[in-house]
Amino acid sequence: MTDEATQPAEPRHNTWPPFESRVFQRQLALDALARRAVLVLLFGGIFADWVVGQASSLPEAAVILAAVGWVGISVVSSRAARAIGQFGAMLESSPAAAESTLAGALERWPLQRGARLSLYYRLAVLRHHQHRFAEAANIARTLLTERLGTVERSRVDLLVILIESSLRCGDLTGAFLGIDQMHKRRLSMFDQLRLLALQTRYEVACGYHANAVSLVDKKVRMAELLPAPLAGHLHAMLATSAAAAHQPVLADWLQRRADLLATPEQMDALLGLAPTAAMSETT
Amino acid sequence: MTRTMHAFRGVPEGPPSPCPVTGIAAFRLVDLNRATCARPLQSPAMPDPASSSAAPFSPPSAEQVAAHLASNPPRAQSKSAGYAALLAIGFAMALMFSSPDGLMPLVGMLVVAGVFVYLFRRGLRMRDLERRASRAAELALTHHAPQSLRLAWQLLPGVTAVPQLHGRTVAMIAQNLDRLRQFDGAVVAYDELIKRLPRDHPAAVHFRILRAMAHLFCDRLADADDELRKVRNVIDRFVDTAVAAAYRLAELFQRIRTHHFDDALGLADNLLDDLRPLGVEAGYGHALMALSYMKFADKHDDASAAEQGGQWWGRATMLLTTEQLVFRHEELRELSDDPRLAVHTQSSTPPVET
Repeated sequence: MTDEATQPAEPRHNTWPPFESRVFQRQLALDALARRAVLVLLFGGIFADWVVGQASSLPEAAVILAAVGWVGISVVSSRAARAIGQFGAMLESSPAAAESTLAGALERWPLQRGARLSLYYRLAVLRHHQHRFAEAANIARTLLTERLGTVERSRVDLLVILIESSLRCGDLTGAFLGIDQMHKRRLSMFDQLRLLALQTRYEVACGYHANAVSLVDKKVRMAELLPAPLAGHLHAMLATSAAAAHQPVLADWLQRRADLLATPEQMDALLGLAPTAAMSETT
Repeated sequence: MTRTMHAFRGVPEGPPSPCPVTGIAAFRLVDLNRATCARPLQSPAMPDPASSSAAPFSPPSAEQVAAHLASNPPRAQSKSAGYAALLAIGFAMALMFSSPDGLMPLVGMLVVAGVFVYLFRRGLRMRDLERRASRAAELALTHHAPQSLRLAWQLLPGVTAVPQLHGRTVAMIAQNLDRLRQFDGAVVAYDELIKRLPRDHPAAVHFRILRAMAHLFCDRLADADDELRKVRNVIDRFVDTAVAAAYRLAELFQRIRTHHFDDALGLADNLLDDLRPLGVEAGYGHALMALSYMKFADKHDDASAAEQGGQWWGRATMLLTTEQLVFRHEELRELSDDPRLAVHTQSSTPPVET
């Protein structure tokens, strides 16, 4: 027997095809159709029962069928939700398994609207994690145009995915629109920290260096609340802008602090463009 | 496309300067806040400590902490309420269908409505608890320890039925007591957390290191040594994490507390990298290393050691103010008054040029 034959077979993972808004809309429409059919059956049965009374048992059968249908939709939705219950942990340990599970859940029909949107939100998270930024931005952008209902609390996360992915793709317009949307929302402190990091990246990428270093003392205090590599990265970006805005003393102070908070490797890993390289170019 | 753009309408008001890259108006942080949020960047979500309570604050004693934790232990989430709600709905349906005439359908509907109101209120209460826990966490993160401690203390009785939230709240109490230098109370809270976590869980290891630090502050050197010895066996699993960094800081602090300054210098080589995951709090480690070098310099009359000490002191004061360093580690007071270090002292606030 060969070595390959003795090794356990790799589990086969399903994948989900690249996101298409058309497919997403069609799935939502089919889900809505199933739910409406159940409602029509329910109200039709009640109305018929009121009209024909005891003359026929069909209306009662329609009501029971509607109840069974509604329970069926709820069961399918809850199974889909249960399947991706450990999505976060799966994403860290095995993105392929996470995608396979997610694909299985997305194939289910019919689902409640909230469940479907929740699955697509996780697809955006997955694509972002897989560095498929264009697709992640596309999913986030599409979801943000929908009424999110029960998934509303994920709106800020979707905006973060949109901004981050747009910046990674060089789509500064998309990033601008996402940042603008975030500013219009009431944000927790943690979301404000995320916004600060993303907005600074946007401003550095666009060359709005004076804007980036405005209120620098507040920004530095906020940056200190971030995990060390992110704090260092933010300091390095601010240093880049300070140097470009002809504030060498501030730039030097920020860069020295950035060096204490994060290694160059950590900072480079955080962003495609290396702030340290950008810094040396501008100075 | 139209739909997408419609959803993202609302480019900020104010004098737009066209973006050279995107061709759309650039925003300024201040203008955007004024135009779209009518509030500055930091103020809305940054917790306002004054609003927590105006009552005078005195931290609880270790006995009070122990009593509070003992009277509010976490309980397993009861499923009886859910079953009771289901039973009530079933009972109501039976009433409605058993006798379609008379008052029974109305009673049935009232029971169903009552169950829904109960479930709705329970959901609202849960959201309120989560909101208060998040607020306490934000206050802790922004160094408003008294306010955060007060909120977490008040929150604890309400979260006993939610074990995860209970754990977070006890962790906040421990962290805030630690920040307020109430180390005896902090040890009690750390004990409670460690007791409820699997032995080698990363959070448990982190809490054990923090408890060892608290023991060191309380001069319980044997307890701290015992704790750090046990942690040493598992610390290799946490390379380049905040847990490993906390361990390295505890190790350094232990050598300082036991006056083994020369031994502490043995940690200097990798200390900068080792402590990085702590963020600005790495400054405490840098300052302790500066103290070790200065003690060494005084003992051996070594100018190069004093120079090294100055460099470490410069790193420390770049991340934290001298007041912060001295408040946390009283032994650093002598460095803050040392004239040899004055030239190395940095500012931890940005030098804003006008």
